[in-house]
Amino acid sequence: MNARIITRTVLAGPATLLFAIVALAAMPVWAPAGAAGVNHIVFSLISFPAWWALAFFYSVLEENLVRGSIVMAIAIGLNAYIAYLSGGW
Amino acid sequence: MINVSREKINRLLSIHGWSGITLGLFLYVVIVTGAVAVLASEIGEWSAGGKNSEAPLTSGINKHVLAFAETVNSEYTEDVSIFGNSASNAVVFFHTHATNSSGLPDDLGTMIEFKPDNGEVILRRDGYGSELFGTDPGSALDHFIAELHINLHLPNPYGLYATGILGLVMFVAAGSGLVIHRSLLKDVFSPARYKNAVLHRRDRHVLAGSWALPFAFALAFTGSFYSFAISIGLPMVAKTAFGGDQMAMFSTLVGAPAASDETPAKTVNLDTLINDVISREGVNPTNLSISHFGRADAVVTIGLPAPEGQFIGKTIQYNGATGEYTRDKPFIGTQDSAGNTLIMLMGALHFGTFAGLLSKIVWVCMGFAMAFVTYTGMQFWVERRKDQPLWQKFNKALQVFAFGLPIALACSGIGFMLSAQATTTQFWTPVGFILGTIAMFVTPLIWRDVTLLKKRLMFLMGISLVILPPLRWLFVGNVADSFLTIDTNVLMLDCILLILGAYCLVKPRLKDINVVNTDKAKIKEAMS
Repeated sequence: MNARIITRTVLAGPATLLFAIVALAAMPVWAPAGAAGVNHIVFSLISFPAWWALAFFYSVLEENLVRGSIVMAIAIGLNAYIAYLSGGW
Repeated sequence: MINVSREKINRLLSIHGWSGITLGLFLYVVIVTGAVAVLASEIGEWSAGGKNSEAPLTSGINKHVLAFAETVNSEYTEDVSIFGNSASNAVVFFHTHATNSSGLPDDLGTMIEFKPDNGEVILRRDGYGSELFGTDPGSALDHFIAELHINLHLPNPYGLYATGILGLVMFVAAGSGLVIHRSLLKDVFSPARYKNAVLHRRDRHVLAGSWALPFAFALAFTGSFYSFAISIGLPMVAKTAFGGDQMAMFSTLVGAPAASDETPAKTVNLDTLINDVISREGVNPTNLSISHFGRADAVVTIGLPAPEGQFIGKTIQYNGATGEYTRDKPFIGTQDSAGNTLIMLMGALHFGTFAGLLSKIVWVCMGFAMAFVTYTGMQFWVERRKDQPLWQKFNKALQVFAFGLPIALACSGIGFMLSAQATTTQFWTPVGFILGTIAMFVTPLIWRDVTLLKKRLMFLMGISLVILPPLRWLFVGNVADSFLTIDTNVLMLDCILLILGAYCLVKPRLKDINVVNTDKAKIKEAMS
């Protein structure tokens, strides 16, 4: 297997899953809670498959794998940092 | 048409094919059991031999509940849950809160199943809620099928992870399929061509896939949400949103508990509340719970199905001591919200419950269309590689899975019926499924030719389906249940099984006759 296939497999596999998990963990921080105080929780739970699909298809369709790796790394790092700032971790 | 470069199309095609061929068989199991599980409550009613009452939670149950409360351990009357089961009997669970043998919080109490009209006790058991729910003899079949769909009978949370991943695979298949087919609108109205086997299988896959595409997206999305929300989502969100404070999360999601008042007070007459809720909403309640039964701070919560013309149901709360209406309680949160509506919509979309039996039947049909897409997709892959021995072996495995799963499910039904009178259905329903599965894995050793194997499996499927209604008549109910008392759901399922079974028995024979007639015509044409 050449390096491109390995990189794309890592991006579409473990990196995509990691992104979906940290996006789920970070979303309650920035999503609006609403008057009942539950919207941010529900939106986060419901959007998990959508975050996963977004990252997966981006990883598969991105031509420039260096750019793809940078984008994914930033997205994962940013979301992880937002989740960390919440104080719950 | 979606414009994507040739290279990207090839990449998506490769992902579509390989994800389908590696996980397609498991995906097929989840899709087929999901399509069947849409009718879980109807199957439960059918396997119980029909309804014993029009509505299990109806005016008149109060005196029975009070009488049962006198007979149970006084510790267990802290909370009371009442609901209807598959046979439309009422089930009351008097319980307190405890820790089970696994060290997890659980309800501990006495569960009594009774006839709502005369209070006759059918089944009475003591134990933890996790041991009692879904383990009564009457629920064995519908519960077995639903659990197979939800977690493939794997221990949690691994079962939920597995079905969640399969949901994401379905998402990938639908998304990549949407892009690579390119001319979706044309495909929707293009019948399958008969030029050759490969083309025919491709066309059938594309046609069914195009029609089922919106359904595939909806089911994959809601299905993976249900699998991951509880197993991964909720604990993570609790950490971020509430700093890991589970009590704070609990208070936000279901509301803080009211101020405690242990003063003994007679709980309001449940018949009055049931009548009130029926006059307010026009539907019979599906469940009722009383927290702090017999105390001044008692709260009665009543769950309702979606009324005619509405998409989702609601929950109403009353003061348990005075009988005063308190509020419409959202499923999540203490007041109505977009999040609550979204959660309810996810349920209605996944279970197809938004328009009664009609929407459920549409969901079943679309579910089987998805199963057909999965099957024909794998067939198409194998047909293109028919010279390779490995893929020919896979073709046999495919036929065994495709026809064997419905046969094994029917065998679980046979196991249920044969053990119904001995009330050992909880044991024999899964055993029937396992025996059916083992028998299916033996079939390729008996019929080595794949065409013959397919024909014989179809015949066996026909037999296993046709035999179910007579077995039900013999061991659970009788013919009159179906055809004289006109229990719609029982009659519907009996007819579906008989028609489907007869079709499976006749179809291979019709095919043979067609082949013979075509051969005769060819010979005649050659001679002339």
